[in-house]
Amino acid sequence: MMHKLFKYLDGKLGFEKASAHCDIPCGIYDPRSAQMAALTVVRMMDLMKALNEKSGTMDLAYVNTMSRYIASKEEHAEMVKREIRVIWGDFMKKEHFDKYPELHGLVHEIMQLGSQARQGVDIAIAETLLKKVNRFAEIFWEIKGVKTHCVVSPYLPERLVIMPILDGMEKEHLKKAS
Amino acid sequence: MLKIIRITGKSMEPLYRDGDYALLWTARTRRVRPRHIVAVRHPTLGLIFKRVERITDSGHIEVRGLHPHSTDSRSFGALPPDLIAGKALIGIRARHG
Repeated sequence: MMHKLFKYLDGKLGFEKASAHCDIPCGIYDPRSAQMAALTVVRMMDLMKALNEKSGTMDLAYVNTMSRYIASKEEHAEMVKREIRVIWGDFMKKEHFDKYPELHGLVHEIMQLGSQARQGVDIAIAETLLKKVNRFAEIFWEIKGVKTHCVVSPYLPERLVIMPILDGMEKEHLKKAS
Repeated sequence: MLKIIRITGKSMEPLYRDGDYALLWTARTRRVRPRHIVAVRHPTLGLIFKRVERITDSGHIEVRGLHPHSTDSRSFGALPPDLIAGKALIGIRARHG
């Protein structure tokens, strides 16, 4: 009752907000953004190669398009590193590292591969980066107790990705909420 | 003297949840003691809502959230008392669960 009244007044007057701030806003972690970024790195390398083979001359349009591909590759390789680093640093705890001793090494490999993907144009590097990020995602969902499956991304570059199986989770959610 | 604020975030759970309100006493803010719940104007985080953990020898306040992931004096250190905007008198809580 009181809360409803205050909420009404808040709507009219707009009380100042005070943040009971948490380091982790609502604990939202999801490796799918890292996987999408890794797929983008692969895609950009494919596009760069195709443009290079197609273009006979290095005209202005070529330089413009190639620059855009490179910029996107840079940005997404860095995004992979950032997203993985946040999950590894904030979400994962000692018990997870004890259970999955490969984790630190895996994250370090992703950091190295991410940088190499920025520096070069070796598609094998981008493919390995995606593979390692997939393994990281698989471990993440295992920790969360969510089953996964391996699917082909429904868009180019059409590579294999590990995705959570979320079917039926809404039923559990509704059961808990009721 | 009195001010109403709306709480956002989870660091004061289970005492205050996201969307609850608190009535603040904004006078004589230097008289806070450990366990008082206060709103503090942090220079970068803005108005924050925490519990006073300890008063240091120099009169600074160390604040803590109740949630283990709270961002508080464990990360940003003790705060000068003149940043205290008010002390919570009562909470107006939504019904939960």
